[in-house]
Amino acid sequence: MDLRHLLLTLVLVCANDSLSASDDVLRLPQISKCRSPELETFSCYWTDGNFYNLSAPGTIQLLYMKRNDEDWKECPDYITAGENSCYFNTSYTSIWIPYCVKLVNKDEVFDEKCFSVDEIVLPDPPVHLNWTLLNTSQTGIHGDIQVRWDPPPTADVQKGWITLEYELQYKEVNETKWKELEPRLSTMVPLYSLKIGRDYEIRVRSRQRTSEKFGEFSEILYVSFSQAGIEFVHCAEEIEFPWFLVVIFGACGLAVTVILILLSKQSRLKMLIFPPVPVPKIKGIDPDLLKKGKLDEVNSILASHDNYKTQLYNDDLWVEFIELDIEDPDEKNRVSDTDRLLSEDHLKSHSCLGAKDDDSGRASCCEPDIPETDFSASDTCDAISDIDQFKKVTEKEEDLLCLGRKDNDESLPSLANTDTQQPRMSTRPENSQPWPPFADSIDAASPSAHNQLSNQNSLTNTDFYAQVSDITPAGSVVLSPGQKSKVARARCEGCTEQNFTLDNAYFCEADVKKCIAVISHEEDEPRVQAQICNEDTYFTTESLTTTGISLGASTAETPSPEVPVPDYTSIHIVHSPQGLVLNATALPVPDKEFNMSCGYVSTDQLNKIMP
Amino acid sequence: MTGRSPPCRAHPRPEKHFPPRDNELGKSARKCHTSGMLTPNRKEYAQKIPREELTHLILKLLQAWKEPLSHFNQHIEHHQELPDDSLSKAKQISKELPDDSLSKAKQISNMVHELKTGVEKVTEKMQSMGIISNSLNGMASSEAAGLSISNEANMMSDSDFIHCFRRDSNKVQSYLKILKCRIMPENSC
Repeated sequence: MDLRHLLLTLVLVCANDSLSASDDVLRLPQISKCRSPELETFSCYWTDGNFYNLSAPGTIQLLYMKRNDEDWKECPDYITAGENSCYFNTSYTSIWIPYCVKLVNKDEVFDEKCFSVDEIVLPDPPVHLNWTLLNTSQTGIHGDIQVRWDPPPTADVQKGWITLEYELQYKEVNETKWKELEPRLSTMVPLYSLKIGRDYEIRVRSRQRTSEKFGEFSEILYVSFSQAGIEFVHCAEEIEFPWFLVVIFGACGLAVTVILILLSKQSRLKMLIFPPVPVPKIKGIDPDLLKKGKLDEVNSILASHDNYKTQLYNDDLWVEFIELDIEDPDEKNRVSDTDRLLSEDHLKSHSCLGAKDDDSGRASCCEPDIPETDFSASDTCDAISDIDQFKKVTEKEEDLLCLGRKDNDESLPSLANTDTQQPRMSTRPENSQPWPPFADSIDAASPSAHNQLSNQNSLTNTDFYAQVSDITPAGSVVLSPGQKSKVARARCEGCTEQNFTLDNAYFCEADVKKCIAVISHEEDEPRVQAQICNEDTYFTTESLTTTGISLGASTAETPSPEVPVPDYTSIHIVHSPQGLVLNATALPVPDKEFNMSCGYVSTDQLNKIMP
Repeated sequence: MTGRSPPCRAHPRPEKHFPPRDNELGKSARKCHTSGMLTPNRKEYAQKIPREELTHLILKLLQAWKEPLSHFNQHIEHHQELPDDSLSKAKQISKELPDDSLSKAKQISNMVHELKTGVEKVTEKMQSMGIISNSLNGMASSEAAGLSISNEANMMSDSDFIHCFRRDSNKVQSYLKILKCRIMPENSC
């Protein structure tokens, strides 16, 4: 049954189709279009429909009426425009006036249309298309041509009654899609970059400038370069984008890049693949810091570790004590502390000059296993200006100094300061000149109070480290035993007496220290002047020799009464080929003739000293 | 057939060729305020009319549109400012216009004004050179004539306004072209 239903519907559908094809449905005649090619005439076209077959044969008429007319008029010309058309010539055409046309058969109206002639303008196609070659590319593959045409002959463009726009379309012969150019008013257009090996088709159409509809296309213009006799280097294949080469080069580049990455990041890759076993690390210490020689951070880090601290410092007071202020009224406390400090921690704490201004006493650059026996004599670091003490201590000085150690490089973080790669003088403990450890900072004029204290109180002692042995009631700090007298004496000397060689703005440290010591009691502006005096603590050999000579006498004198008993000295600068610059009077003068000259010892002198 | 008015929308019209509007001829729709002006509606008329008269007509047309254009701008501005729940008529009117109609209308006003100024200058030059005579008393009369017509423009709807303006601007363009052709001696106009 379903099959039959299906068959029945199919039959019915076919019957319907056949019925529709058999003109039972009436199709009325319709006005298909009305068109004016040049704004001077117009014509209307209509379709017949199947009217005639069904009803009585009649004649279809086209009637028209202008706005001002009273009546419908019949089409004046049925012939000129072809079949089923009505042509209105110029006498019947009025522009800018509304028309209505209607298609009738006697009284039966089939269709009606109203318009104005200026709205139905569809120009004829342009004529006389031709092209000329402008130029060809250097490769001979592409060329430019100029296409020109004439406006449709019916349109009176010359007088300006109508203005036309043109649109050109072109394509290769075996393509399907036309390329369009923008509409333009001119009747010539250049076409660029056409392939000389190919043939092209060109067509043009026009429209009235103020309207939107284009007229018909012109005849197609065929462009063939070979016919024009243009030489063409016939390429077997067109040069297309070399995808193959692109792929090859891309792959090579990629491979090279990957290899470079692998090579450069080899270690990291290794770490990625084979992660390293974590090794014990001191928290917070970066081995890079040590390498870089940032003594500040290392010292602070080391100090922050309790282990290390207890190893080094038995008494926290030592740390506190170092960071004293000159205005601190607690002198008594300090005095007592000084004793304590001197007695106990003398050996361990400041055995080396870290040559740092942080004055914490940390950053001991020496190994902690300093034999205590050597420092037995150093317990006398009291407020005693005892020369004997000094002598004893000076003998032991080298023990305090890093350089006395065998190999100080690794144990001296301060030595890690590699501002200057100094050749270190490892001195023998016997008669060596205890070389002070290197100073990393040349700036002896740090404005810290402690530094100035040290400067003030040890004339020629080191700037950076000084063991404060006592504090005088006057407020000056005695930095090591035996400084009192020296301080007192230093005050007698004026700053100006010294012959500072200012030529290079270099000062002998001894001079400077004396200067500072002199003005130290001037509490108004100790700091400022200290700074001035200490402006540049660079020492050159020349300056030192020149000043040293002047001071040589004084320094020669001073050692006996005033030789400070430095526990350590510091090197301010090291001129590697020339020697070291030491703080003056830091070195015990075994020989008078050994002219310290403000702490500078040349290598020759050193060689004399050392065995 | 003769006495009957044309039937109203008896059959469907193919609207694809023609813009959708009221095609009734008998209605007073699209009667522009410049319809009363006698202007040449054929090319030969435009070629035969004296140059002075052609110039006069051009100026008259341009002048006739000056006022209505400014009114139209105000009209658009006013309708654009209306909220959405305004009168339905206003909505209907504003629907006919695109969104940028205000700027376009101002552009049109400016262009018309500039065109009028240019034509006046050309007219003066022509009169001074003797190409055209001063018989029609120059631009003053055209201005007066134009102004008198322009008052009737307020009754038009927006679409009619645009249609009328388009037609008249087409006229002005054609007349100017013909005039130019006739002034230049070398062209065979």
